[in-house]
Formats: sequence, structure tokens, C-alpha cells
Amino acid sequence: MQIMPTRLVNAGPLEGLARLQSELALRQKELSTGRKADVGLEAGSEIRRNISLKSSIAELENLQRQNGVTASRLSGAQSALASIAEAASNFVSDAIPAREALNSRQLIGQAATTGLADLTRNLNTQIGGFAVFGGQSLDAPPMKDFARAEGAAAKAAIDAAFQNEFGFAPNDMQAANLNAGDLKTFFDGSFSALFKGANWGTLWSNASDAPMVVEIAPGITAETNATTHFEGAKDITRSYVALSYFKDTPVGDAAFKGLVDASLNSAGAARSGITATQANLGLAEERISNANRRLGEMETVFSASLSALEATDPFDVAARINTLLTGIEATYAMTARLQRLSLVNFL
Amino acid sequence: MSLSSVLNTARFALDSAASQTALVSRNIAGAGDAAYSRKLVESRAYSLDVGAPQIRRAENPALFARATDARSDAATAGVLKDGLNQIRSLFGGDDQENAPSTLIGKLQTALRTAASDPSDPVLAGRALDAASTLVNSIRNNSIALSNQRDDIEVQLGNEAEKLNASLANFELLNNRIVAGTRLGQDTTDLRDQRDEVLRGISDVIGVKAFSRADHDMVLQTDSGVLMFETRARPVGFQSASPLSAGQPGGRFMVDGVSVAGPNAVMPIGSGAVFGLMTLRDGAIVDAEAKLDETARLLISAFREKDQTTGGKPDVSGLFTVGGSNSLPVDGVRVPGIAQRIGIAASVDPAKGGNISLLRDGGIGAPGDADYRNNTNNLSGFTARLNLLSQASDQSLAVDGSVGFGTSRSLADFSSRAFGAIEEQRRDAKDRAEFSSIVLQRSTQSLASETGVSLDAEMARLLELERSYSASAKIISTVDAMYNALLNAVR
Repeated sequence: MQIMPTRLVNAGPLEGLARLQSELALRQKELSTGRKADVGLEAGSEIRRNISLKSSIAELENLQRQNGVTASRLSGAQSALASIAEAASNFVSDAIPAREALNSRQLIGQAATTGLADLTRNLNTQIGGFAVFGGQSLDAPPMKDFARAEGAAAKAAIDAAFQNEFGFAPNDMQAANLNAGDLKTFFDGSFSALFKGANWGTLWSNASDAPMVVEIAPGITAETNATTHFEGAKDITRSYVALSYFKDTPVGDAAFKGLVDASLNSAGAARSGITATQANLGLAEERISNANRRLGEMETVFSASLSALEATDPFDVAARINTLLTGIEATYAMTARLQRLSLVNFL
Repeated sequence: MSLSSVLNTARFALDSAASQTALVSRNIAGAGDAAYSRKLVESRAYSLDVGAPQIRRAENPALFARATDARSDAATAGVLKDGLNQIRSLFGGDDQENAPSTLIGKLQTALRTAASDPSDPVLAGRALDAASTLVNSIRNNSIALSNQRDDIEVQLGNEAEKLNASLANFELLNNRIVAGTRLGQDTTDLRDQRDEVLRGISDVIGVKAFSRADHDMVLQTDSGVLMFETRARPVGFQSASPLSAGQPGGRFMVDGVSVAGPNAVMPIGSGAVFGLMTLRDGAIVDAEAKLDETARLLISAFREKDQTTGGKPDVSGLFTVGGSNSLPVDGVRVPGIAQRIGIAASVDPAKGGNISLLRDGGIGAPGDADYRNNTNNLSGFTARLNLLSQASDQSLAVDGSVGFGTSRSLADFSSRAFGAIEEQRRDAKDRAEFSSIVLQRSTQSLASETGVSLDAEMARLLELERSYSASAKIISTVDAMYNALLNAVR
């Protein structure tokens, strides 16, 4: 006759109870965290999909954050350029009528000095300590300030060019004998050469030739700042410097007018150069905002895949917890009744 | 048939009822003891020669063997599961915060952030922090794995001692059982005890038991090495601690034959010893190999090249082995490299290095301008940082013996390495669940053959009470009959 040993009868429900209780603990964890209790245990080697999704999501978030910073740098550069362009237009439109005024030389010269200071400030714009026109050279301010000591080399170069052209220095009284044509030739020739090629980088600017190139999406790079090395900046700087520097030399008023004409031409040309640079930056801004939109979409897709792998359905978990609790209660009730159920009690 | 023989029979029945009642009370006392098996009295023909009643126990050798096998398997599975959980716990929680795969992703992110403003030493410092966190994690995890192997060496030594003690105990009990059986004594309780010792042995090592005459027993390992025959055979563990990465551990010997460990002659297949050996020589060595290869790939991915056409050999960059700038050979795993990987001192400000080398290149050979990427010394130089932030995605030559093919990127390799651990852990958990169910079932079916039911014993007791009062009734009836007879002859 097969018998049921008392120890088994009593221990039977309790063995099941331990399993129910440990599962209850897991389900409760799932309910509070919203993800599977032990993701790795369930996924096995497929966990690498979770890992790669997680690292992609972190990467996408980081890129979007970086792109936000880049976008603010670019928009800082844009507004600086807009204000440079506006200042150049105002300078030209104010200078044309002022040419005939009695104190035209002082008016225009002063306006050029102010314009140069303004230009320098704009090109040295910093967003969060980052020089937006520095290109890949971020230590010194991109533009050397002509009015300060760092402009000394530029001044010396102008003097040397002048000496070379006319045989005497700009502050020599012989300068009074130069006519408008002489100065126009000088402006378009050896003076302009000081703003071209390598001279721009040594005399006027600390920035690098090339802008900074950074990843804006996985594997996709874009220019993320500007540099002072664009034609518009060179043209407008040349106009401002000529008028502001020669205003205080013995050059005659008539000759100065020749310089004004040449400079205003150059300032007018600068506007189209500035516009071209603005368009370039605009393209970069658009590329970044496109990239960000794409990154955001990718992140949504990746997050959805990750949550499909890791997340639990709270209703499902709650239902399972209910089932478990019912089971545990039934086990308690059964254990209590089995304990009472002994022949000893009936003898 | 005389009245006196009726009286004798009744007296015999009383004796029998008394001894059976004693047995019932013994069974009731043992009802709560898992090691206790139900005791029965050998049914005898009516006999007047009153000797000691022959007591036997309820037993089923086939079920018992199955239950001990299940115990050995469950012990193996439990050890494996715990060990793999311990390995897994090195790598953090559900977010794998301490896994190389996660930390490589963080380094990549930090490098990309540094590229957004290469002139900012704070951003470069964060990237360097991410790199040293990664390196520390690889190093510490590898050391923790080595320590886990050393711990297992100690545990194996303990298991050997435990087994020796159990076998000595077994010998003692076996001798008493054989001697007692020959003298016709009741050895059932001793045999219960011996079975319990045998169960303990089966936790340590897979065991096969054979019965011989006089309840004598012979024990072998599941691979067939003699552990006990008349006397206990010596068990020993030749510890090889401390173990360096990948070094083979010590061997487990039974009766002079190696049964587990490297090149075991007669390898066992279950028990805690088998589980510990599988962990020590399998799972942990495997995890160590994957960490080593991850470390080597890391060094390889961040290597630096001669930027001129001079054709100088590649050198290690941000990550180095033991401070030298020479690169490990491509596609060949270097055992123990995970414990020696570090950050190049030339880039670490804490060691007098220059953190801007991260941006400029030339970390491995700071004095040699040929390895420098930033030839114009631009503070906003991004090309090198852009390259580094993609380093973990480029395809590298991988040692095929690690099991993931011969060409993988660092990110792919490290996430596969982690996946392999989770896979083993899942297998171990499934195996542990399965074997614990088998153990439970086989223990239950054995218990239902040999266990004590209080209800059945109480029913027996009622039966005995009835038979006792019936016998008493017979005695008093015979007494009355004698009285009647004696009164008649008076």
C-alpha cells in the first residue's frame, strides 16, 4: 500500500509557497520599475541588442545636445554677420552724402574708426567662451585689435608699404603733395595686398583658415563655426583701416577723397562677401537642424525597440501579481487546514 | 490443543502487540526526520519460541540511487548558477553600468563632446576620466575574476576535507552495520544514518553505491573510481593557488586518481566539485579571455600611426600595456593583458602628462613629431578627436579562439562578450530549476515509499489496541474457563 508520509503532506504546499513568494518579489520589482526584473537573464546572448540600442540612444542624445550648442554658436555668428553687414551699409550710405561736407574728413574718418572697433568686436563674438569666428584656432580672439598694441605690426606694415610706394612715410609732410589718383592706386595696389593671402592671417587675424569640423550625426561631419578668413571681412576691414589710419596723416583733403572713393567701393563689395558667408552658415545651420530632426526620429525608433525588449506591461504584471497573491493565500489556507487534519485529533 | 497453549498464544500475541506498539512509537518519533525510514516487524508465523522480533525498514534502492543522483546534479547546477551570478554582478545591474560595452559607449560620447570644443581642457579631462573609468573597470573585473578562481581553489580544498570526513564517518557506520548484521542485531537506524552520510557525499561528488552481503556497501565516484570499499579511500585536492589569468588550476584526486581538473583521468560529471571545476576552468577562464581580448582591442583601436610617409611602425596611443608604447600583435589574444592595461602617462596630467595630446595625437611617442596629427598646433583641432570618437566602431582583427569570429569592432565585441555571460547565466538558471524539480520529485517518491504517515501509524495503534484487548479478553476467558473447571473438580 502506498502511503503519504506526514512530512510530505505538511511540506508540500510550503515548497510551492517559496516559489510563489520569490516570483511575487520579481513581479513587484517589475511593477515599480516598469522593466523586466532581470533583463539579462531573460535575453541571454540577445542582451547585446539592448546594449547596442542603449549606447546608440546615449550617442544620439549626446549628438543632439552638441548640435544644440553648435546651432547657438552658428546663430551667434549669423547675428554678428548681420550686424557687420548693417554697419557696412550704414557706413556707405552715411559716407556718400558726407563726402561734400566741410568736415567730411573728420566725419568719415571717425565713422571708419568706430566701424573698425565695432567690426572687431563682432568678429570676436564669444558664445559661452567659444570664439565663433576662430575656426580651429580658439585661444586668442580671432581679430587683432588695430587700435591696441596688437595692431602695431599692421601699422608698421602699412607704413612700410607707403614708404615703398612713395619713398616717404605717411606722416612725412611730403604726403600733402599726393593727389587723389596716387592714393587710389596705392589703396588698390600695395595697401590691398596687406589684406590678402598669408598677410591676413599674420597682420589682422588669429583665426585659422579652415573652420572646425565636428560630427553632427553618426559618421556625418559638418562645419560648426566660422572663421574671419572670408572676403567680406577682408574688404570691410580694408575700408575702415584706410580711412581711420590716413585721417590723421598730412595727406591732403582732396587726396583723402580719392581714398574715400576707393574705400567705399571696397565696402560695397564687402556686403556681397558677407552675404555669401551668411548663406554658407545658413546652410550649415540647416544641415544641423535636419540632422537633429533625423537624430530625434532615430532616437524615438531606438527607444521603442529598447522598450519592446525591456519594458513590461503594467496591466499584465498587476494581473499576474493578483494571481500570485491568490495562490499564496490558498496555500496558507491549505497549510492551516492540513495541520488540523490529523487522525490524532479525532481519537 | 490445551487451554494452556491458548494461554501461551494469547501471551505471545500480547508480546507481539507490545513490541509493535514500541515500533509505532519509534515511527511516530521519526515522522519529522527526513533521514528516518519507516520500520516494520517481519511478519512471523505463530511461533512459541520467543526471540527478538526481526525489524526491517521500508526501502527502495533504485529510488534512493535516483534521489542521490538528482542531489549531485542539483549541487552542480546550484554552484554554477551562483558562480555565474557572481561573474555577472561584476558588470553592474540591469544597466550594466560597469560592463566594458557600456563604458566604451560613454568614452565615445565623452570624446565626441570634447571634439565640440577641443580647446576646452575640462571636456578633454572628462574624456580622460571616461577612459580611466573604462580601464579601471576592465582591470578590476579581471582581478576579481582571478580572485574568484582563487576562492574556488580554497573551496575545493574544503570540499576535499569534507569528503574525507564524510567517508571516515561512512566507514565507521558501515563497520558497525556489517558487524551488527552478522550478530543479528537491529541495524536499521544505523543504515538510515549511513544513507544520510551518503546523501552528504552526493552533494560533494557524484557517487554510485553498491550493496553487498550483510548490508555492506561499496562507493564509487560516478566516473568509477573507488571511494569506499571496507575502508575509506583518501581524497585530496592539489591546490595551485594563487592562479594567474588563464593558468590551469589544481586537480581533485580520489584514491590517487585525478577525477576533476586539468587532464583528469576519470572525470566526474556531477556534484559541487564538478560545478566548481566547471566554473574555474570554464566560465571564469572564458570571461577572463573575453576581458583580455577587449583590452587588447581597446589598445589596438586607439593606436597611433606615423603621419608622414616615413613608414614608422604604429604605436599604442591613449591605452597602453604596462607603460610601453609597443602594440600587441593583431588578432592574437594576450592572456592577462586586462590586468596590465592603463592610460598612457604622457596624456595623464596626474602623472605629469599633457592632456592636449588627446586632441593633437602623438600620445604614444610624445617626442616624435611624426606621430602628431595637429601639425599646425591649432587649439580647435577636431580631426583627431573625431577619429577617436569613431574608434570603437571600426573593424579590428579578433582572435578567433574567443568565439566571435576574426573581425569585429570593439563595440560589437564587447557587447557580444557580455551577451555570452548572460547566455551562460540563463542556461545555468534553467539547469538549476530543472534539476531542483527532478530532485524534489525523486525525493518525494522515495519519501512516499520510506516515510512515516502519522495517520497510518495511529490506525496501526488502534489496531494493536484492539488486538491487545482481544488477547486480554482471551486470557480472562481462559482464566474463567480454568475457574469453572477447577470449581467443578473441587
